[in-house]
Amino acid sequence: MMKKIIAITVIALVSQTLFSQSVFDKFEEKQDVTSMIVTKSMFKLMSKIDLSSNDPKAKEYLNMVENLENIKIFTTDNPTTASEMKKTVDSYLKSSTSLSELMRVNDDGKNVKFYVKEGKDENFVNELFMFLYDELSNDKMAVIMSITGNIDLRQISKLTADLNVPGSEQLKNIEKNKNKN
Amino acid sequence: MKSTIYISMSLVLSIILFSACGNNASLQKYIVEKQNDNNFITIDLPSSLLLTEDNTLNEEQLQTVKSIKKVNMIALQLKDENKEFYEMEKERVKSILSTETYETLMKFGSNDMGASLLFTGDVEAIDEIIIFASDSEKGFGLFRVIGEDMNPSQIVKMMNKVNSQNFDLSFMNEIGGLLE
Repeated sequence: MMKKIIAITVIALVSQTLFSQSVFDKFEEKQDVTSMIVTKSMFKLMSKIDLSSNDPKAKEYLNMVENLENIKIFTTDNPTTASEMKKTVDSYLKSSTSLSELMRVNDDGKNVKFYVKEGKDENFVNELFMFLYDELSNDKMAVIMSITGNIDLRQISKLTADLNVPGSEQLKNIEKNKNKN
Repeated sequence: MKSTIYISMSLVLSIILFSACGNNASLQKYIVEKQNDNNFITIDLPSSLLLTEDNTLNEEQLQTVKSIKKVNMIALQLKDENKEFYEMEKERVKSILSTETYETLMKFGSNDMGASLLFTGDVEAIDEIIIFASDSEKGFGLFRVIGEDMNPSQIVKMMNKVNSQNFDLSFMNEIGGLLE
């Protein structure tokens, strides 16, 4: 009985800290990595700052933003760190079977891959994951982006474009194509 | 048997309570402590001083300003002779801010710069906004706005409508001067 209580308490405490961590968080403290993290509270706060409530486009945007959990972006120009990111991404994609490839694009000569985790219907996903890495190019840079939450794929390219995420332009187009079908 | 359950429960509860209260006091305590430390540049400003005497704010806007109580700033410059002290103080601030009391809104980091935006309270009724920024060559700064139920949308609305003549922002130049 006693052991059980202790075990449950320990599990509860440990899992709480584990869940908030992602496999990519280690890159935050690394040298030669530029990181940006935006949390759920920030999205909630942004959606509360309703400046142009008469503009339906702005409303759509704020609606999309309010349903996001978090955004993490890690960028590096260091070849060693870049290949380390590649390894982490590979094992992340292997371990998470629910992530499937959305598209591959070539942005400015660089290979960009987008992955999604299925959401409530075809327009919504629970995670949008992007990885840019080019082994063949001279400047071996890497960019990891992960957006989690209830993501509206028809809207998200506006946000990624605002954040200068590579491949945003193509992300916009794929949604146009989708709507035609 | 019952008593062991009781003891372990109350232990867990007290840990949670202690970590919440203890940490809340410590950023305040840290800032007060540093206000008397000559190594630090500190500014402490009640929000009433931010308003110019002949301001043209209406009642609602005045209420919004009044929800902001105080602006605090402390900064520590990095010099050749204080590297160890600097690293120690920076770690102290980081560990205070990493507690659950403070919720991170945004974080940015690169090789020589880092900045984070944190808050306490609710997104529609903020009690405290904290900006912590550091530069590997210049030093670190902690900027804190303390208020009571500050409503971000009201504040932004007010900032957009009213012109700068209503506010005395000369303290900004002062901060800039101190950091030069």
